Amino acid sequence: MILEVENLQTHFFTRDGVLRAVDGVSYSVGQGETLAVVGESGCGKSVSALSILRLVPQPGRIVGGGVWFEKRNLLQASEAEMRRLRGNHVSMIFQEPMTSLNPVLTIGRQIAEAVALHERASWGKAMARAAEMLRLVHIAEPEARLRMYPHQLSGGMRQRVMIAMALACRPKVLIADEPTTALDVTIQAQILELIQELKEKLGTAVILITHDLGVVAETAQRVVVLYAGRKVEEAAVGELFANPRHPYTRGLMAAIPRLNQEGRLAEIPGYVQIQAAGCSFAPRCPRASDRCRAEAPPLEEVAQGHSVACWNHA
Amino acid sequence: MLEVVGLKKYFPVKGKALRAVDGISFTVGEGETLGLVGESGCGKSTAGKAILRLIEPTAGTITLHGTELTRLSESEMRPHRRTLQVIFQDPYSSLNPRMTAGAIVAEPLRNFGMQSSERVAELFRRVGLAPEQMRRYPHEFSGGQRQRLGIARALALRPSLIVADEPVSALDVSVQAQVINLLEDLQAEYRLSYLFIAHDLAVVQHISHRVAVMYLGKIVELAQKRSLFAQPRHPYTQALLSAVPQPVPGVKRQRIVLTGDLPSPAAPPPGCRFHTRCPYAFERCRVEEPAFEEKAPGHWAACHLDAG
Repeated sequence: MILEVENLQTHFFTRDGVLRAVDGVSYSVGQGETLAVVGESGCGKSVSALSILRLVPQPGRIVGGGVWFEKRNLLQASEAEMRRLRGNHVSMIFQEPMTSLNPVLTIGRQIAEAVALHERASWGKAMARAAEMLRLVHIAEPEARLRMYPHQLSGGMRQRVMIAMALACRPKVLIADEPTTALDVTIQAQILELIQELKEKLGTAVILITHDLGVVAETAQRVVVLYAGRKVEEAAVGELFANPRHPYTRGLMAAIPRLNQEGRLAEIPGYVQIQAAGCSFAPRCPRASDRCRAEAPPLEEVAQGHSVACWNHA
Repeated sequence: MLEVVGLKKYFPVKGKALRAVDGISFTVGEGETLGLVGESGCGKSTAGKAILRLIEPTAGTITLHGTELTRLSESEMRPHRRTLQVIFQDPYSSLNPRMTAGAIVAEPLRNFGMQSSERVAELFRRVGLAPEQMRRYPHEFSGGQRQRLGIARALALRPSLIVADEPVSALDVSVQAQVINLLEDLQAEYRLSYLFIAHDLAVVQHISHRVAVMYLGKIVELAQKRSLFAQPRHPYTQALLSAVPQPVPGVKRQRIVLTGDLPSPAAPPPGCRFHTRCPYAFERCRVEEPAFEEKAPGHWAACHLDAG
């Protein structure tokens, strides 16, 4: 495993009390593997990803656990070490490209800067790499595009530029946080194919954070399902879709409208709320018992490589 | 019930006309849901706004229950606003944060001189909210509950047609199912008609009876849902459908990947507007715009390739 998140705890200290956004989550990803981290808003998937790079916004704080990258615990690394690592060995792409692109710099400069900084390359070499990266993400006339500003590009192109930027230093791990959610399906198809291709060419490990089970089925090898800050299920992708064990996973699978399938959708009643005691899914769960409301279930292996945290799992 | 003919909406941009909607025609029957799909910038939301006359159409007619809305003045339009309602995408920005939930739902009633807290309570119950929540403010509700509030507000005046513009795309999957089921139940109960505008094809297929596909301001295909999804006739529809990721691992599908970006609606390509990205385009497509024709019973498409 190239990157391991171990019992991570990231809490937010607000005026209304402590919000345990990530509450003891573990997952790992190997070279050339895509791990999907699935869940709905508020489940802790983005916060866990930001924690890996120690980019958690205030009032959030990592209060426990470890993030292991090449035998080092990043949570104990110095800020200078983290700067050398971010964008170089571990990089991240976000849902909204405009938040991570600087509007007043040309895209060539933005991509080349990372290369010049991390690899101490000359500016000419860095710009040549930038052009090469744009070609890799299938942007036509890359030399001309280098001189453009983000606002001159379409949404799909900006997303590709951000991927080019994230991959310019050939990172070992790419964290993609909802990389296609803001995009149309035809552009989404292009971007997912691109990430797949780059993973195969460069052996990058990918952590794909998404709520779209269609995207998961088509790109991931392994899946981690988060709910209210905890991991509730983990399995290989085929196993998870064939044999979902946690009531939340089963609910999600039944709730998605599928092409060429009719009939009423299954609902999960209520909405995500972290519970002070017991299993946070209990108030919405068709299988909840008294024990669920009192005591949080531990993660148990139910089959080879398949674990689930539920007292009454299927 | 609703008949739209030759609807156009142009926006002036730097002396040129941005043809957001460029001559679309369709009907929506009583108790029917017409899905309007397409990618961002295709003009689907603009079409919805023009039908609601939230923006003035450039050309074309919109007829509701036999009354041509496009000929009415603003004050003549007012009584018709009761029958024509809207649900917006973003339940966060479409509710006034300073009004209580009860006042938000009561507002359309008050506008038409009707006031009844009983009616508001009934609406709350009907959309799955507790009448006790009437005193709360929008920020105290979850995303799904806020969308229920938006639905209650739209229902207040007993409309016959609701234009729903991406009503579930801001919601989580588990909550999305709740709202879709609610919209279907309300339709069955009140014989409501929906113009359902969305980009998520699986959602549109689920809720619609017929589906229209838009590309660069035009409808390129319109058919019964089963016919459209089983046998898409326009290459753009085929590409759209093939691009939807399927929640079935291990199935490798033949994907039609479109190359290039969407051309600007200020300068749409000559001939067929899709020819710059169409994998099957030939000479005729570059010069002659294909007619929108009935290729099979009830199945309309605009493509030179498909002679029906």
